[in-house]
Amino acid sequence: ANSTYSQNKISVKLENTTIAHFIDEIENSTDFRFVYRVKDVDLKRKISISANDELIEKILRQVFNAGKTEFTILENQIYLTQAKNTPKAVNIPITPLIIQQSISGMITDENGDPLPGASVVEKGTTNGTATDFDGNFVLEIGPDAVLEVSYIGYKSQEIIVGSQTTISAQLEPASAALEEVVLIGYGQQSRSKVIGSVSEIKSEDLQNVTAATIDQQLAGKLSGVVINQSNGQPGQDSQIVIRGTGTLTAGSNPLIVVDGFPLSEGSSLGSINPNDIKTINILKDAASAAIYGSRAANGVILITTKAGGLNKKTTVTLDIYGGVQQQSSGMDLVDAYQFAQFLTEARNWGYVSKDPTNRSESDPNSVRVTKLIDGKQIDGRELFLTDLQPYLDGQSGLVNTDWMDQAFRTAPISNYALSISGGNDKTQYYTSLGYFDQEGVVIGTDYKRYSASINLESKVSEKVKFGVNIKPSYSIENSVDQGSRSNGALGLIPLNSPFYRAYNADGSVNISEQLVNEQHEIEGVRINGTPVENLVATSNEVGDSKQRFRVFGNTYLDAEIIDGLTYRLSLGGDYDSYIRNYYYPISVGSYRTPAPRSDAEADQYKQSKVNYLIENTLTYDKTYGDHHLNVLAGYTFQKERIDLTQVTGTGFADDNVRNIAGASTFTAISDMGIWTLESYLARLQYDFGARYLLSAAIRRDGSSRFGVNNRWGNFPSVSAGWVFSREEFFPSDGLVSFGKFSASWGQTGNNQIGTYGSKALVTGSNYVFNGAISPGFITTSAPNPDLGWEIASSMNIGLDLGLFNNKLNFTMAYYKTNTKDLLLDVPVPQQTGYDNVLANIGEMENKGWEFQLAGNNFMVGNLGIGFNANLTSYQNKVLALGPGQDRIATGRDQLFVTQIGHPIAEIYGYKVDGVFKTQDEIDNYPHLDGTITGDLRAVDVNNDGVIDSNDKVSKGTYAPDFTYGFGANVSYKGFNLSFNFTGVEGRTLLDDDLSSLTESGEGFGVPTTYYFENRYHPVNNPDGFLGQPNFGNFSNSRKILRSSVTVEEGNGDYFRFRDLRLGYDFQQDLLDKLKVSALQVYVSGNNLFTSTKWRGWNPDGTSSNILESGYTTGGNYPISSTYTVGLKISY
Amino acid sequence: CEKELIQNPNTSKVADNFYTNETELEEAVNAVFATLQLTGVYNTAMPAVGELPGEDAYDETPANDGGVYGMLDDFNVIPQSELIADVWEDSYQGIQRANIVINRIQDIEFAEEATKDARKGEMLFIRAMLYFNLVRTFGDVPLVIDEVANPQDYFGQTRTPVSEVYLQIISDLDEAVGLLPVRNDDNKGRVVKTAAQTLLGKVYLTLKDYAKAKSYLDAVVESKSHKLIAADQVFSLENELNDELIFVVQYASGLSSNTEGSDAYRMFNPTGRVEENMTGTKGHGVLKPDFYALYTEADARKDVYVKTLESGLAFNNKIAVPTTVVADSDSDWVVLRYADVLLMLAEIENELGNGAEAIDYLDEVRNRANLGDYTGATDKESVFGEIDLQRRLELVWEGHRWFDLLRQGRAKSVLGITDDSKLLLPLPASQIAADPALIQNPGY
Repeated sequence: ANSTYSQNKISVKLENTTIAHFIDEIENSTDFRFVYRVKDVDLKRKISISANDELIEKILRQVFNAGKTEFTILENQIYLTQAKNTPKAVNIPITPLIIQQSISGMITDENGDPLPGASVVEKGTTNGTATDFDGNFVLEIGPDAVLEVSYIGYKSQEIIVGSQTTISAQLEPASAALEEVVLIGYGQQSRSKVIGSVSEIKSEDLQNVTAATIDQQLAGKLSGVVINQSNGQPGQDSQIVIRGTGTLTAGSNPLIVVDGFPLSEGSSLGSINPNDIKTINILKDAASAAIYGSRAANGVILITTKAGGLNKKTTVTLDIYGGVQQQSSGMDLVDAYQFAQFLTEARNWGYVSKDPTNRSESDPNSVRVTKLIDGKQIDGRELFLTDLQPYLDGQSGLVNTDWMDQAFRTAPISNYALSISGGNDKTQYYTSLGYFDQEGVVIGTDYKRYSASINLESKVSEKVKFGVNIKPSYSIENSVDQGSRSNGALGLIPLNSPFYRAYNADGSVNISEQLVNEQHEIEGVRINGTPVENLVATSNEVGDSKQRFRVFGNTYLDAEIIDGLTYRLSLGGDYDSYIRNYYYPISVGSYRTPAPRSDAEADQYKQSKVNYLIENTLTYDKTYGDHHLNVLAGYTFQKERIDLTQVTGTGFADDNVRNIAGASTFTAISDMGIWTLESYLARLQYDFGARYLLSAAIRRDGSSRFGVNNRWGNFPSVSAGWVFSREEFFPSDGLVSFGKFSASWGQTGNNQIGTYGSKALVTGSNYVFNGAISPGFITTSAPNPDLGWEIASSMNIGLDLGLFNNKLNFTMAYYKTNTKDLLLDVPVPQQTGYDNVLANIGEMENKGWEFQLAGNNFMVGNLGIGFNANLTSYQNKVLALGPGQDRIATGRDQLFVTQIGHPIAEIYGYKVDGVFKTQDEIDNYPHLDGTITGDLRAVDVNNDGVIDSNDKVSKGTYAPDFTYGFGANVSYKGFNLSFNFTGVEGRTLLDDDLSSLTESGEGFGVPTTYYFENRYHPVNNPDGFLGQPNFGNFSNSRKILRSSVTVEEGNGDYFRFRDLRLGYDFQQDLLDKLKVSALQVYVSGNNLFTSTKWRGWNPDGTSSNILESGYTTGGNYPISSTYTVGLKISY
Repeated sequence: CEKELIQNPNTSKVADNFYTNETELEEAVNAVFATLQLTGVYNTAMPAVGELPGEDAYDETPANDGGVYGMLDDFNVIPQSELIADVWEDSYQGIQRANIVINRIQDIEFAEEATKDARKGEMLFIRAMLYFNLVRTFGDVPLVIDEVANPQDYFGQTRTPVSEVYLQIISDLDEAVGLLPVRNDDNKGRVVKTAAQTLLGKVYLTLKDYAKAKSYLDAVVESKSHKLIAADQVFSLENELNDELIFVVQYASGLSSNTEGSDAYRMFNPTGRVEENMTGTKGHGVLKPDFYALYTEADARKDVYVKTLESGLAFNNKIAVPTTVVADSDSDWVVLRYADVLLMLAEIENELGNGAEAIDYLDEVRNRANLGDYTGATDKESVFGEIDLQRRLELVWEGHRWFDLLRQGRAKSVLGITDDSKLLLPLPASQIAADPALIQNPGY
């Protein structure tokens, strides 16, 4: 090597300092870099040195002369190695180095293109170099040298030099996807040996989506995993469904395990900073998940957070992004002029249709109030609103407030993440600080999170190590109940009329104008309009803040007792403290009540949760020739206690103190719950030559939640795999480079029934005798001492293929899960005094196919290309319900039907084929009671001449038939472009706002443009096919059909351009100048485009009640489009 | 750690350890009374069912609140109505709670045997009253008089014929009459002997057994526990639990974050009613102008029981204006009162051919209203006409009118109903869906 560097002269002056400090000093003041293994160098040895303009060799010689360390200088790198056993001469040879042979060559990739920066090292030494831009290298080597050639992402090669003087090596890409280690429950395994169904995603793939929580980042990325972002509000969790919903009324949350610590059910992922996550593994089949037993039926999500590394230089990384979000929804409401038209039609027809022979649209209000029917005064909704005349006349410049503009905003989002990681030969660490700040696209909503992470692992000795993972976070979320007609911005959008201004001329918020005016009198009769408060006032003035402080983590000790046998003790804990403060001031009106109101409303809700876990596991891992054995046995105990108090305050004199402290009387509710879970677990994994794979596991769980007769449950699983590509007969140079066939069966459980589900609880129900509270208590839930586990037996058959040297990986799986003894809150006949009873009832089946295809490292010249695609089908069928029960019809108008032989929660509705335009048509066509002209016409599906519930047909389910996602990434030099699409097919939704407000044709809400354009009116829109606007005489037939008309099969399908990201990694020369090790800038966009027929807020919206899946409400916070710019820098 | 797996609730009681002593039984009894305050019972639903189909009250905003009140007014109730679902659910909840107490009280020792009897009598009374409401509303209904241990055993239970339910009602009330105490200052807020007698009289009247009805109602009069008081005192908040009142469901405002008050004020007062800054009324039960006109100027009940807004819209004024929250009125809901007893007796005597006795009872009510003695024709039909008019004027908006017309067989003629099926309400759709063994009423 040409030691141009080594000719540089340097100065250094240090007194009584350590070798470690000396090295730092040299590295800081010069371009020299030391390369060494920590155990080879005595870093604590004290030295003193004073050198002025000396050659580096001379300085090093002084320093290392007396030590046990040798040094070698290569370019600017100084290799420190342990001195050979042979005693060294006092004057070690400095230069020239022992050079016996010079070798040059070229390293290329699989396509023969040069690989710049590949490492070429003489085996067993520190002597090495890197290839230049054209892939060439020159190296001087000793005799009998073997060269190790390596490059990230490629398989390393060893080349025996012999007498060659030039060498060309072509590297093969490493089958990274197959070699990598995958986390399984209580252990890890190389992907090629995984027999169950485990999906993995890495942080790089997650960060394409900028979001507060990882669930949102997962959407569409993995087969078999549906993420329903059912509430787009900042800080809210998504619903995660793994391979279909496996339960009816028990909780459907998957179990989330962070660094080995299982969080309690329904835990918010919002407490975890996505920047701290390294990988997420999702255990989808029972064989993989069964080791988590009674909590695994909904799947298990294993999250691994970032850790340091042994002998890793300290790295400081700062990741910052900022951007804006905009609402994206299908909602489109009419403006003031169209609304005036609609309202006039609705009021007129409501008036006329009640008595068409005696009433006419042209009757003035003074006449209308005299047209009594059966002695009853007219409903104020039958009045014509004279104020609307200017709108009807098309006068320009009238008030025309777009309340969507008022409710939505372009909202900033930003994130700051700072992490420091590294390690020496004994200890590794990772620590981070994060700050996330998101304003919601709906006014009055925001979310902030401060988070930290500390992961530390240290070796006490070669056999013993311990570690600590701690994750504190503090979050503040502000948002009122968006579905409320009193204070939610979203719930009020279709009710705030465009005739009113959001702000007064002086800029102040226009309080209660609509509330007052919509109750004004005409001819002594109240108009009975829509008396609601201005959403700007409620959003800004009603306070609803939720603060959460949470810290969870674990500490563990690993001890290798004998070779291969490891004992681990792990202690985990989770402390979660939540406070919600709600205040609805006197100075803001609520539904029907204008400001100032007679009292404010306030409550405070405090909950604290303490959860701890003790785990003892023994693992024995041994290889005897081709036999590899891994045995796990363990015992765990977990306990959780939740305390809550809710204090409601009333009697506020004014709005000065905006929390319960300002109240004069209080009521409080206090509650406490404890659950425990005790478990024994065991697993055996065996493989022969990594070719025949076998695994069996069992977990025995005892839970305090179940009845005394059914406290313990056993959850076994077995699985087997065959890596046929490792068979001798399998062509090693064919298209298929890896092939594995696997099958598994296992049982998992579900225990999400609440803490005291098996008990007959006696709860409070008070009466007042003589004006004083008389406390009452009585049985309010039926006992069930037999209450036991919901057990899911699932089967998985999988095929994994690697093609083109594993650059292309294909996975397919067929899954089938039967869930028995469903934990069902059975609706029972109410003459029993109970509405529901929790019991183990019924049976259900989920099955489907999963396909996943991933290509990596395809090179076209300097262009690197990767792609991925996934597709999963879902089929759900209810096999049995309670005794004597073959269907459960529930929800709005009993339209949500769960029946034997059908999927859960099919949404039923009438087929509607237009409107009745004449009385003649009504008389000659089957119709519902009370049908008048302008009403919807239901189809007599069974042709029996009457329209009744037998004519309702299934319009599909919220659970999709299939979901898919695909995307690609392209890299060229430092540039990287990636994008992903995701979609849902076969989803049906029933939206409460569409059916009862915006598309019902009743005059209470502002209609959608779709409704307005297609409404029937004999004169103004004779070809319309939706019900005629009718306020005040909304017939029963309309009430029954209004939901059906908005429910169309597949109305919730969507195809979404999920993310797009363009990043640039600065090249080495610039990094050197900036003295940073990595620098990336990027721009990204999320949810840039959604193609859907859905006319509501959010096609992912759903009720959390599984029996009413797909029921959405006006509070369904839409998903936003996000545009961000980011910077990631590492030192 | 096996011990750790046994976790009992710390903040709620468990049935296994409850109902062990008098105090706990009293708590259970309170919880039975509490069901009477529920929406589906005497908060709003039963009053609406009893009043809105009648000819005097109507819903000013029939399409509002899902149309559930308007449907009662317009005889087009659909099985999906939330209101009838509430009636069914809340009534049966009360019945089951009463069943629990009746089942458990026997083995519990009370300090005073009389208290134990009284509590048992109260439970029987409440159970009978709720079943009475149910049969009059729905016709045949499933009869459950045992504490339900496993609700799933009740799948497949069919509707019990009305006549059998009445047998149970009568037997419960008969027993209650024997167990309940005579009214005094300490027990006037609870169920007293005269309450059971009055209700049983009403039941027999409904069954047209005039002799039996008379005997029980006579007993009420003879007890001297009750009397008519000044019209403006009957519903006055200062005078709650007064001597005229036989059984009321008690409400109080401003307690437990405004949750112990009645919602009747908000639901049934006209939308235009503003009292100071108290607004938010919904207009679901105002009065027709021609009915208001039936109150003569002299009538002491005019502008006391009923009033009009400036616009002329008439409304029931028996429910007190709430002071802070519109849905939290302090007024008790009056279920049985002495004026009703007198008017029932008048009706019974008239039916039995004792016109003079009938007019005596009628005059008690007329005189209290400042109307003087009845001077009209004394034939049976004319007297009935006057009794009927006084029932309307006296008992307006107390939830009697529809049931009066039903028991008199006059609902069709008075209200112009042509379809017999409208005389019963439909069973809630949710219940038909829950168990197909429940067969819907014809016409729904």
